This record gives sequence, structure tokens and C-alpha cells, in this order.
Amino acid sequence: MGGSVEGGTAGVAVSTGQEIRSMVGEPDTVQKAGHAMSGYGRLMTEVGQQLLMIKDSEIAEWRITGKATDKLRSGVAEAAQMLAIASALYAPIGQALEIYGTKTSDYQTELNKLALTCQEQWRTYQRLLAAYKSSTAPAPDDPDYDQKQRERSKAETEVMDAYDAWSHNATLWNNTYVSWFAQYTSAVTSLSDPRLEAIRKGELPEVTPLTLFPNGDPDPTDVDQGSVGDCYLLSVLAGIAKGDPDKIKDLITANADGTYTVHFKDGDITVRVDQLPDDGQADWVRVIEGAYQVHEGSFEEFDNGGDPAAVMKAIYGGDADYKDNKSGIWDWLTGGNDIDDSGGQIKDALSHGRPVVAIASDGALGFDGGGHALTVTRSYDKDGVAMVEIRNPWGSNNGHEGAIRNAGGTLHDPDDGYFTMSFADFAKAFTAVEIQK
Amino acid sequence: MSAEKVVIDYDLLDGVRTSIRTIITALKDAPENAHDAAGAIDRPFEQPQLQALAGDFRGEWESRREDLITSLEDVSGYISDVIDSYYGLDRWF
Repeated sequence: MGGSVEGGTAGVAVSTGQEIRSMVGEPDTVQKAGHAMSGYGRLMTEVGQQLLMIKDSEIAEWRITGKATDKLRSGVAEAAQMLAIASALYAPIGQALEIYGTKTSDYQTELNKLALTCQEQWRTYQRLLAAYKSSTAPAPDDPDYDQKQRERSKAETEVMDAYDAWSHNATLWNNTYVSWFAQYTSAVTSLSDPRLEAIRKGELPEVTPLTLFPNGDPDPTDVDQGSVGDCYLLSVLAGIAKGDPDKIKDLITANADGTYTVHFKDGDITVRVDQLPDDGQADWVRVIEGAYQVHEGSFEEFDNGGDPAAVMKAIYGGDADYKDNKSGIWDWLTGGNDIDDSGGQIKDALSHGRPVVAIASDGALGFDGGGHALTVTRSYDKDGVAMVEIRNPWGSNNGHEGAIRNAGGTLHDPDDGYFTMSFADFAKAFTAVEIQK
Repeated sequence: MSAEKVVIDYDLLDGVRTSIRTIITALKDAPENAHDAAGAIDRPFEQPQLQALAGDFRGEWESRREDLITSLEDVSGYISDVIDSYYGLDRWF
């Protein structure tokens, strides 16, 4: 859908008072620029550390290349310090721009689509309203009064219907604008951070050690997903925190230089504190999120959803068991690969501290499209009925309470993201289950 | 200090030199790239702050950018000298 909508042609959003119009800017370009800056920031850190290593280490055949080596050693310390400062500037600004560009790209598409619809509907409303206003009410003594009055009422209804149609999309535009503006404000806040001003003056920020485990041990409640689309990661992490908290502790090494290394099966990834998302979750979650973002190559990829099984593979190695609620040739070959058949495997995995993730997609439990990944935290019997306990990584089930209850679920009161349901209802309600072997 | 205590090898030095060249290019292009990013941000819904902040993200650090480029060019040259002298001698042996 093309075309730009100018202000004043599509009405005004009531809540924000914003003229409905297209959004200018090229967020994809911003995302790419931010990604590049963020990458340069990481490279600067890496090279700075390598230079310091060169300064303090011995070089092969140093005896032969003595003079050149002396020069090199004398020059690296200053460069390393300057690189550390440049990195402290590039990395957070790049990350903030990358996140803004990624998120804004979707908002812009939605805002511009809605603006076009609003413009069309606003014009229709204006046309019908003008026609209605230009007509005069029939006089009571008019011989065609009844007919003319019916036509006038019909015209009035058409005007109101046109307004309602516009108002519906104007509200959607308004709500999308509000969400976008929150992202914009977040980016402005990041780029206005007073710490950046100190860095620009040549002062490196003090690295305050993180409190990785605020509750002593990792706990599922440490996971509290915000606006980033990484339920696929968080649902697995909450499961490990519940069943095998030491596994989380073993996954992370706090380094002496203030960085943190996450030991994925396909390689260690080291992150600085300024690379971590500022999303209010426990620091161990933020560290793994920061490292997984590097693992995925970009914030865009990280934020764009993913497969819990891929996360399990990165943490445990090997493939996870996948169960769905569709019958097919694979079920026939294996003698059963449905969620219904997975009760024993789920119980076995949970009893051995391995994560189990349930996926609701394509409208299941009200989760549209690719859906949402939730953690299965417990499998137990109650009065002879097999039950499961599930936790939403949002730390709530906001907007889905009704769908969960309708599917047989019982939510905690107050809602803390947990709910229980019989295993039979669970097998019907969810689209797939992924079980760490 | 003896040649037997090898910690840094020449492949690593070569890798550092390549990385430094990449960083130097990024630093040299920084004003233009910041200008492009600010242009791409634009002023959505007449909001000017982010564009201004991105366009001038270097701020007071700008004066140090040239210093860093010079310093990195020096280091890159020193690394080249170490590598060249090593391989130069290596050919003799």
C-alpha cells in the first residue's frame, strides 16, 4: 500500500491530539547503522583487550624483532585506553539505535497503513457530513414528509457509521503512535544518558559488578519479559531456573575485567555490562539475553522470535523432543508424537531438572501468529488427574485470562503468570511442546 | 625473556592489524555515518531530539577521534614492523 498521508487529511487522534498522518524516516537504515556501530563498539573492546595482552605478553621471536616490539609495546597502552573510551560510546549508542530502528520499522508500517485507511474513511465521513448538512429537514406540511424524513435519517445514520469506522482505525493509529513514542522516548533517554557525557570527556565509567542472582539462586520469577520478542529464550531460562538453578550459575562466568562470559555449547560469548538490555529483569537473565543477542547476530534477529529448541541446543547441545497436536506420518512411524503422548516424557524431564516449553500459536489461548512460548514448571497428580503447572514469562497472563480459563486453566489470584490445567486440557490447548532430552 | 615463552603469535598480530584498519575506517567515516543515521531518523511527528542526538553523538569526544585514528595508525605501523621484521628474518633462515 503506497502513498503518503499528510496531516490535516485524515482527522485527529482524540487521545493524543496528533494529526493522523504517515510517519517519516527510514528505520531500517537506522537499524543497520546502529547494528554497525554496536559491532564497531564490540570490535574496539576486543582490540583494546588484545593490545593490552600484547603489552603484557611475550612475542614469538621477540629477541629477533626486539626494536620493533619495543615500539609496539610503548604505543599500545594509550591506544587501548582510547579504544575503551570509544567503545563505551559506540556500543550503547549503537545498541539504542539498533533497537529503535528495529521496533520503529514495524510501527511505521502499521502507522502508515492505518493512516491511509483513516484518510479514506475521514474523506468519506466529511463527504457524507457535508451532504447531510447541506440538506434541509423536510417541513412537517411537506406532502412527501415521511419519505424525505426517512432519507434524512438514513443519511444521518450513514454519517455516524462513517465516523465510527474512522474512529475505530483512528484509535488503532493512536495506540500504535503511543507505543512508538514510548520507543522513541526510550532511545532519546539512552542517547542522553549523563554517563555518555562523562565518556565523551574521556572518563571511563566505573563498572559496578552486577548482582547476578538477587534471590540467592536463579528463580523463574527473575524472568519478566518486557517488550522484546524473546519468549523463546526466556521460557527456557525460567525452566532451567526452576529445575536446575546450578546449571544457570555454571553457564555464566563473571570475569575480573567486569565482563561476563556465557558458555554456550557452540562457543563462549563475552559481554560487557553496557551491552545488556535494560529491561528490569534479574542480572543473570540480562547477561544471557545480551550474550544470546550476540549469538543471534543482531537485535533484529534476537527480537524477531525464535525456537526454544534452538536455545536448548545452545545450552545443552543436541536436539530437543518436539511434540505437537497434529496427526501425521511421523506419528504413525514413531507410534505417537503428539502432546497427548508426552506426559511421561514431560514428567521425566521436569523430575531431572530439564526445561519443558509449551507453545501456543495460531490463536491458541489467544496468541496469534507465531504465538508465545511458556514454561511448564510442574507435572503432578491431583485426585487421580494428571495436572501441569505453566508459567508465562511475562510474569502475568494479561489479556489472555479468559482464553486460559475457557481452555480449562486456573490462574493464580492475583495473576502472577502461573496457571494450572489438567494434562488433557493442556494437550488440547497448546500447539506444541519442546522437551529437553 | 626468551623466545621459548611464546604467548603472542604472528597470526594474532596480523588479525589485530586487520581489526585496527577496520576501526580506523569506521572512525574516519563516523561524521558521514552519523549524518546519514540522523537523516534516516528524520523528525517523525515533528520530534527533533533523537535526530539531533544521533547526529552529534560524538559531541566533545570529536576532538579525540583524530587522536585515536593517529594512535591506531601508529600501532598498526608498529605491528607491521614486527611482522615484517619477523618474516624478513624468517626468509634468511
